[in-house]
Amino acid sequence: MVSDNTFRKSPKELRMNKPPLTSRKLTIDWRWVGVGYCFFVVLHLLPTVLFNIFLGLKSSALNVMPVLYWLYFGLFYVGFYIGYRSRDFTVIESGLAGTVYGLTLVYVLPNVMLIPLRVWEGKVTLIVSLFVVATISAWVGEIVQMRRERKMRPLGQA
Amino acid sequence: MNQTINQTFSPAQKPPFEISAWKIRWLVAFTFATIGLAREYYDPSSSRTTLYSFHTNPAFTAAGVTIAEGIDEFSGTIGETPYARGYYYIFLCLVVVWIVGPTILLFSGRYLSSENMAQAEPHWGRRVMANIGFVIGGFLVLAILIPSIPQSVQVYRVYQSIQKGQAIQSHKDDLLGSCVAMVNYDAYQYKILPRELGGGGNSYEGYRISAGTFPDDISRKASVIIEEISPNKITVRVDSKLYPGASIENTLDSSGVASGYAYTGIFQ
Repeated sequence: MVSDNTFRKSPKELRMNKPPLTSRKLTIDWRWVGVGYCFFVVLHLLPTVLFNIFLGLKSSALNVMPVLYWLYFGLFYVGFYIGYRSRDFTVIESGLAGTVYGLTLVYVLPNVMLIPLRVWEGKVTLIVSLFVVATISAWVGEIVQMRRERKMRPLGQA
Repeated sequence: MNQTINQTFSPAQKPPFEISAWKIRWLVAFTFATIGLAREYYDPSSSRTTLYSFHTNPAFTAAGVTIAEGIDEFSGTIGETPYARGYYYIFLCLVVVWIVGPTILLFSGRYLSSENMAQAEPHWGRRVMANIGFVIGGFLVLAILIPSIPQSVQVYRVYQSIQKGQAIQSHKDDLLGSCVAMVNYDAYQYKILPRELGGGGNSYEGYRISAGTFPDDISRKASVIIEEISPNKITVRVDSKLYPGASIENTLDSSGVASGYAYTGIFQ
């Protein structure tokens, strides 16, 4: 027989076999911030650099729009992967990792994205937009993960 | 926001991190190598300061030193340029990249996978050192592997470009030496031949390229067009069939001297 508490459990809690949820505490899993940053570098920056080397691009010879499409689409899929891969609800963690990645792009590797950012408004806009995109994409990843777990749940469980 | 339950768990009950320690070590090494690659590629001025630059091209550096020495020897300025620094640099690159990096990676990896780490509480200092060593060794090794991919592609492209350039030049020389020269010769022969014998009688007018002027292989490679004809001048254009848009044009004067060579398309 299914108890009322079972209905209140989230799919993740069911999978982790945790006790019923009584209260929630908001914390940040800093491990996922670091790992997420590494994911952003390896899964987004590395393909970008290799692609630019293949094409021999060192300046903004391209139109800006394809660069922006790749910047945000690439960030979206990496953030999605972070949200999907993590067991816990790691949305802010992905956003923080995206912010640190944006700081890296703006201050350490300013020429990688081939977009000249000379004014501080542009830099701030890029960093904030990376935070937003990484957060939203991780949230979408979490939703997909929950739906997948709901499908995989054995019969008899709510 | 991380939703956690307020209930306390013992460390044994705490679920392990989703990504294994080995993957994290490789991930960190990849991260450093990627940032090093990006700094190397986009900011060449930093190549003297980043560790990444130690390994990228010791062979090219050695080749550069050898060429510079040869030029100096040829020009008689031996000893004026100090190369000892270059030698030490190459030696340092080779040692760091091909010996130190893989050694650190293998030894730290062996320690991390050995029974020392299987103990309940391995010595924290050695564990930290092994992790740092693994990341540094992985960085040095990956810093060689990652750029080798685009470098291979670039070498292949350069090879293809050289081959294509040689083929174009060969085709151009072929057309110049056979087709253009043959038309010039044929036209001039027509000009100096008297009219009674079927020639132009000291005029180019009336000259036509006959079907048997060229061998078949030339006809397959190019088509010849007489652009302008006058008693004392004839301008001939040879269009390549192998490279559309490429052509050679020249003008033959009354004394049979060809001049005014003009190239279009890929022949330029």
